[in-house]
Amino acid sequence: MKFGKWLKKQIEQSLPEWREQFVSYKELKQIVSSISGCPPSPADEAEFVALLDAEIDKINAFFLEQEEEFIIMHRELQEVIKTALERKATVPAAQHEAEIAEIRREIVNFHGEMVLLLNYSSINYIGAAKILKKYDKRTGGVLRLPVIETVREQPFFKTETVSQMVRECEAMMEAVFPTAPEGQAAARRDRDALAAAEQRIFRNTVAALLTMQDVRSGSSTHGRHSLPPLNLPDSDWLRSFQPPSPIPIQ
Amino acid sequence: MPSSLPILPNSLKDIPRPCTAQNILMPGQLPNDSMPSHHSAPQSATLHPRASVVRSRYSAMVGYSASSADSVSSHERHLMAAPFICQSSNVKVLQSLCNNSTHGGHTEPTWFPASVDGVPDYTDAVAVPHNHTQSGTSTIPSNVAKQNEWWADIMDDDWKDILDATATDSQSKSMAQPSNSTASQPAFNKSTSSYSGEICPVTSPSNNSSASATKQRMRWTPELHECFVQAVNKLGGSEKATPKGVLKLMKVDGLTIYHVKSHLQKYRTARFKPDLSEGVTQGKTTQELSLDLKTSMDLTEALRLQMEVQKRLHEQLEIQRKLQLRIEEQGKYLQKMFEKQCKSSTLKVQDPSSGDTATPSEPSHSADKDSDASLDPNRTGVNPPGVAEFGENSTNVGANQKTARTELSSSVTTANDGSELPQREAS
Repeated sequence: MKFGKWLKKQIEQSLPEWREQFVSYKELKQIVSSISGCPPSPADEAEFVALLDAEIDKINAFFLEQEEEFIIMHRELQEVIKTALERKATVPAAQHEAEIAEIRREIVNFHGEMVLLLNYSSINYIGAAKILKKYDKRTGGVLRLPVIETVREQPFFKTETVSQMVRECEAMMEAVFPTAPEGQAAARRDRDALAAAEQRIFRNTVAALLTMQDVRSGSSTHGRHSLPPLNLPDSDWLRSFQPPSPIPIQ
Repeated sequence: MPSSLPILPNSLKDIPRPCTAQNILMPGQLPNDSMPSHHSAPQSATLHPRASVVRSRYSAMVGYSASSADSVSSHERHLMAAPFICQSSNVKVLQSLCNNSTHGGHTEPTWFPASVDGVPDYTDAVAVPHNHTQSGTSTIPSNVAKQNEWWADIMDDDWKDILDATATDSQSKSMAQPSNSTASQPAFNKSTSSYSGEICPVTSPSNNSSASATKQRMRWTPELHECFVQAVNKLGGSEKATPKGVLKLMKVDGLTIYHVKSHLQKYRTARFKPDLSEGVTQGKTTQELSLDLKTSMDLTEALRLQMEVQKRLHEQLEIQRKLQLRIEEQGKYLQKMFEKQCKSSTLKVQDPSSGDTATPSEPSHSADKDSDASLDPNRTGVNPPGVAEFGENSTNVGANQKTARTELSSSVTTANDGSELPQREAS
């Protein structure tokens, strides 16, 4: 699948508030296509760089804003868990259970949002890399290497903090989730799976995984900087969560 | 100590320090025991490395006076091209560099690509350029008053705090010296713009364009937030605390009241969201509550499932990221080798694009520090052939590429197969 199309799909399936925040790949591509010179004129190059610059600004801003909110939420969740566990002895069991259930939901959704932000970061990075490659190819320029390196220095690419919070979220689960009971009826799991599938975060996550696989499947422009193909062994299972898609996924 | 991202050695800048604990120092006392365990010490933003990096970058850029590509060696081109992307300010500067041949009068190197510099990243809340904020004591009263008026016109009431902070707090570092600022730029803007950590202002210094779009982005970290929360609690909670009070208590270099204010706002709204232990269930009968209990058990399984898929995505993203970094690294390494070879030998390597997988040497090793086990077989696999054969002609290198690529793929597949995601039984 071509990147532009893939990106569009990702955006459509992403959280609504995020849709405007992705790299304007199409616009960048238009600039590249319109550049005629080889080598490019300084004005053309500057135009391209300016737009890319602005896009990166936009992505950074959004990412940092989300990260800030996640940091706040992360701490709040920890506090809430602590409080709920401390109160366990002093509140009626059913209420405690309800609180814990709510907390579990929060943890999982929070975890999901953070992972989606990491996905966002990755998508934008790939977009930048690809557009730079296009630029170099079209104009015989040598922007790609130095610029992509600069991109890797950008805040939105430095995702360690969010990643760490994701891991901590997974650890938080230990505190509030019961240990997984072994024998679950398959029917029950199906039902639950369907219920969960309706949640948009879950849906987006599944979509992200599957499209990651798609974008990394063999392509004509596979080169030395391309990632190897991704083969998810459980992709069929993942696909079962998706409604049939109008865009054929090869 | 959290694992840090592989830090790519870069000929363009100083080697960045490890990201975590060194960057944000808080001169005030921070209750260490309540800090999350990631980082060893309270931090503050420091600027010195950044300043030197920026100056070196700046001089590189000045050298770029619109010379055409081919007259410059590729190394220099990288040096010059790298700043391109950082901020639009760079572009403007570059354009003017292209247009005018001389550039002596360029002010404020600190405006330049801060985000490209060696000062690391995540924990860097703010950095303070020393040449701007030798502030504190002698604020020139009339200038301050003038600035205050200007601000009063366009800001809402809450900002009175800021103005108070300026007027009363002689130690305040949140307002830079009016005497230092250029005439058309309000002091406030100047101050926030100076305190970028890894952040650049959007407006370039060469065109004193309107300060309204100060895209100053602070990067909050868990530690800084912890410090913030401590301060807020001391002041009686999120409703009672004021930005000014919090700022004073936090005593973080370079943190502005603007930053604190917006963060406090976020904090207040977040507070209401997880309305969890607030007794949402109060008022429900026992019957209702036990029904809740039953559905919650089903729900738990669904949540667990959702979590599994999310973990999967996370894992894949991490692997992908590591691969991206390594591929780029190896590309760079090859490039270097190629250049070296071009210089040192008469052997003309025909097709530079053919190979990419020579020995990952030191750069890779730092990358591999926190790589997961699945990538290790790949590393050992690639090492021996690469070393021996790189010195030879390009066809061998091409062969290596294929080998390495297969190994990369297989290692990724291994990672996938090794996952613990529960498989569907009925499929």
